[in-house]
Amino acid sequence: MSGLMEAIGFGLASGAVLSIGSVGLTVQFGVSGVFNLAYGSLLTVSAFIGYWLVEQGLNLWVAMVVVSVATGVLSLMLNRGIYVPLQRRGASPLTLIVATLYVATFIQYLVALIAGDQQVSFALQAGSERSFIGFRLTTLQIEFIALAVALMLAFHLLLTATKLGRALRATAGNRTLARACGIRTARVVDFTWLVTGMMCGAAGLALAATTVAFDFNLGSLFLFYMVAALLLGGAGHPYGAMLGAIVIGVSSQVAAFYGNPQLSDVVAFGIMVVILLVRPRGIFSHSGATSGLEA
Amino acid sequence: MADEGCHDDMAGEVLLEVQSLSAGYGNVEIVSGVSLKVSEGEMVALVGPNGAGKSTVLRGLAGVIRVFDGTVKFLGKEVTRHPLESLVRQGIGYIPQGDDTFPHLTVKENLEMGGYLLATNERRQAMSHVLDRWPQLVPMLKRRASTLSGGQQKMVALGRAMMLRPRLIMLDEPTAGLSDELTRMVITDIALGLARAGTSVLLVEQKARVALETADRAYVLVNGRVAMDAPATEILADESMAEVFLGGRSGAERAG
Amino acid sequence: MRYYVILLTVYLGIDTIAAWGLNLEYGVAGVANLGYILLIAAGGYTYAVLRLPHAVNLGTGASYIGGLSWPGWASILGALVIGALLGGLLGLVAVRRIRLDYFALVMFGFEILAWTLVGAFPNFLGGQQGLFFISDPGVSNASWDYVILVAVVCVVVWLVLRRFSGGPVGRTLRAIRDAPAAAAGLGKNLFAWRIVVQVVGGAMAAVSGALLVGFIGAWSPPAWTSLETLLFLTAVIVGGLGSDAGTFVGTAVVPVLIVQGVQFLPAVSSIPQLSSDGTMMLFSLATLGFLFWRSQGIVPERRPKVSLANVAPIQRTRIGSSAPSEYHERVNGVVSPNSSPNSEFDTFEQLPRRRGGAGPVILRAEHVIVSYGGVKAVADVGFEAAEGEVTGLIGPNGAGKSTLLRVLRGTQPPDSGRVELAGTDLTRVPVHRRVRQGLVGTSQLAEPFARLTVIENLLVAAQDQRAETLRGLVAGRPSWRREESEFVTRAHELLDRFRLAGKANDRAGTLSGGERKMLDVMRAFMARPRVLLMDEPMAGVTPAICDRIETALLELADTGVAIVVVEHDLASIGRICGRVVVMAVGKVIETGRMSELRASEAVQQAYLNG
Repeated sequence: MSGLMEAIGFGLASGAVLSIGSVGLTVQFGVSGVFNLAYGSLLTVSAFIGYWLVEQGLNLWVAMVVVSVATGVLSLMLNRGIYVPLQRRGASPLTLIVATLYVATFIQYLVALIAGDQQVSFALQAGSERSFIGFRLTTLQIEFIALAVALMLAFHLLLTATKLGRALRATAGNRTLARACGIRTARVVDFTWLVTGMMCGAAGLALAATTVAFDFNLGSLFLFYMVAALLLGGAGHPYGAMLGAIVIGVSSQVAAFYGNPQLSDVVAFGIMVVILLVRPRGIFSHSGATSGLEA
Repeated sequence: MADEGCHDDMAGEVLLEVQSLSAGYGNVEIVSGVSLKVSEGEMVALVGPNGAGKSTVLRGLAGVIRVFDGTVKFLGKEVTRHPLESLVRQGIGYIPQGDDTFPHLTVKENLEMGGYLLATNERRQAMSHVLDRWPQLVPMLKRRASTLSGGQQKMVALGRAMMLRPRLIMLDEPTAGLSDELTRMVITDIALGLARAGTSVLLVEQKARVALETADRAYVLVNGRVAMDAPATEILADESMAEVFLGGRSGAERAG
Repeated sequence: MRYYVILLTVYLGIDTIAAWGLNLEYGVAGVANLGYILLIAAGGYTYAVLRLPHAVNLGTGASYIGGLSWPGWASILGALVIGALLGGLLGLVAVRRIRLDYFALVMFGFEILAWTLVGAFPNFLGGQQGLFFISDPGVSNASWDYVILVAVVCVVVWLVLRRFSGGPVGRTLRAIRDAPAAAAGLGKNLFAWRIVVQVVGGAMAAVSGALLVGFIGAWSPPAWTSLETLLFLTAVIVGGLGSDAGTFVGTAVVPVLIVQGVQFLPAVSSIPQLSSDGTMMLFSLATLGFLFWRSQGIVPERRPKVSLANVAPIQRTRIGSSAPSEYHERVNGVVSPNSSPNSEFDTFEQLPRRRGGAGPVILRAEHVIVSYGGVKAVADVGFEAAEGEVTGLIGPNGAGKSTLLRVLRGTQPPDSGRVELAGTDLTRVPVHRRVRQGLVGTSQLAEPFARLTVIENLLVAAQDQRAETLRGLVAGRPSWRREESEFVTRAHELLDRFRLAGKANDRAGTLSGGERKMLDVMRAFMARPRVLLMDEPMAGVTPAICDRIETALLELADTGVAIVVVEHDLASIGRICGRVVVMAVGKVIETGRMSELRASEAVQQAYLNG
């Protein structure tokens, strides 16, 4: 029983990190309509940049800020430099997905080339373990849970209480109508890629710092966890993705507890495939995207 | 054009001046050589049979589709091919056909979205102006737009566009799907009301009769070209109108 | 050195087989299968399990006891069967109701899931370690014999492949790729064809996997990561989507020369990082570059030129050019007594001639109701169309006429009501089966099959093609050569009459808007309809083209075909229609001849008031 509670605690911690990543991914898709499979590779980039910065002696939280900004800018460049021009050339959604897959591969192996294909691991003080109501979490895990909660709250405030948030919701909902309100939607899309890239960066560093060891494949595996969370919550729905992330995080950790550690992957991917099959319409459809950033 | 000066007394400065506009989708030109004018305080209707290209003209003006040729001037300044958001910032309101509200947002949020460009207190002011004009909106402020009836949604759409107090508002078939009664309300009460209160209206309308009965002037579009350009009452009285709409000879001839 | 050449050649052959399968799925049929490697893996494992002895010591202390000790050839065939079944099954599960960009992700997900599962259970297929000590299929893998084996299989696979990617079937698959809805509207069963493609592609992938495992003697998850799918996808995109020859070139360039070849270059291979990572980056960049600047690939998909030269001589007919006034008379009941035989066309000769009047009602709809979100677009409407007559369906925007037409076509299921053709209930029959019963429609969009030639667009539309049957697929060209030449003749007649013969071999994607409309009409004619439903055939066309379409419709009606036209151009309706039905706000408000309707107060009110 205590083992199960520990697994759930672990699940909450990994779900917290997952939620940062999947909310970014779902918002990116909701606002811009591009299903970007290179998101996982950006996450890898951020993990390695963060690793390097921390190795240089930078404080983890300072590194996180730097990494987020860098990844955000990279994400923005990706959309402006590749996806928007491809769309302008009349690429179909299918071609676009294929293209994002190649961008993902390119970035992933660029990381491998620069950083090597060795497993690396943060020499961080994970802090003392604390246990309460059966959970046993390290200080670092608790801090990341707090970070996720803070980011989700911030994101909620951004969406509901700021002008920019209104512009985001309007652009995701109906681009022409948003423009009719005077919103410069092209800039809103740019902003979206920047911010979701930053979330990707934060998630990447948090994931890397709480993983035993990682290599250049980190993001390509984690991408499917994020996609699974995104689909569980309904594509384009940030609050759904938060919930989906917690469900995936906890269920995969519990599965790992009861069986083979690799079962956690199986559970996450299984959930993804089942959702894809059970809800074959709507999630990726245009109407799905235009449902906008709603809970 | 027989100009009897019937609208001179109420129309002031020229707001919108369009010269030989050609627009369409992709490489296909749907309308060509369309010229039209809207003056201050005027309500101008753009009517014509199905498929004549009325909405295409409006979308070309609004900068959401491809403009091949021609010039558009607003308040004397050239705005051809300006993106919609920049036109909106210069004082043109636009209500697209069909999806004209944010369905998942409440009425209040829809109006706030319309006042996106305003500072908070200006927005509050604009909102109370809109609600003064259409007090029917007050009781539904907290409802999601998707739960409203067609007529109510139209009012929300207009309220949303009026938040910025545009000098000119362009309406693309605002009465599609509305009953006769609501159609009359939208066109004669709301649209004409706006024009008389100082916001010029350029109305694309399928329901020609009610539009012609209400508007000051009208353009009849046939096959992507302007076939008639006259005071609305004159067009309404023109007996060839029925033929234009029902595809008789004279309509085709006039269309060139 | 000798081994190196053998290795490269064998890899080229094996990879080509797999890439052909992927090209058939993605390049030809337009179904991107991002989990394609899964089928190759299935072939590999099937071969391994069938070929391995009952108990084999895997060296690591573990032993594998699942082996069946089949002979080599049987193991390869077994892999083929499993690949076909798995391909069909995955297709069945996923293609059914799913959009294609979605299918790509589902397959990607399947692949990741399977990969994880296989790796997680060491007792099933060897887990992460995989299976090894697998014997070759009875042909030594270190000799030229294996090259010969692979070459022979390649030739056989090529011959089978051409049955699907070439000829009328290849044409049909490409039509489905270019414009699925239009293809369904011409009687193609999209679902069935996509499953067929998944089965064939799966079989090819599995054979490739079996030959690979027979060659290298081992098989484990690291050999079939999702990256491998990407490699084949690159080969297909770089080589030329839809082109079998291009795919071969792409395979030679990408997986073989770059990925395998690089490892043998001493300068690069001395830095292992550069060779593996650099290769992945290189081919990703290359693919993106191709997607940007040369999406047709190195060897673009070619389409056959069809000429009349090798077609039996036909009675060339004069282009229909009777004056509009003549139609008007005929429509209004005045039959021109001396209608010259020249204005008739062989195309319609098999049908009974009927002149200047409506025959019996063939298409009937009763009590049709369609509502969108609570609003009744069609509110309890009845409709009928008679043989030999052009029936007009008009009304202001939003009257529900296009919706009614879609109900008749089968692209819009009614909430209630009944549609019957010659007394047979069709209400629940899908579009493609209605077409086979003679109920053919065109949509407002007039989508051409853009990457097929103009004449191929017409050939696709011919009904009851023997080439598309199982017998045709087995017997090949001799079984359909004759019907094909008949189709070509008919297509040429149509092109002649619409004055598009000069563009017969142009890609349909290059046509102008008006020409596309004509192509759409011609395709429908080619399907030999008993009832033809047209949604705004005159929208956006010039008067000259409008005239050609009107002439053709009238002559088609003269052969006894029932035609229904939804159209905004009421002048045109007046020229071609006998009976005209006026709808407004979801109901039929008036029926009569256009000349009468123009005078009708109710109709004028409906149009002016909207």
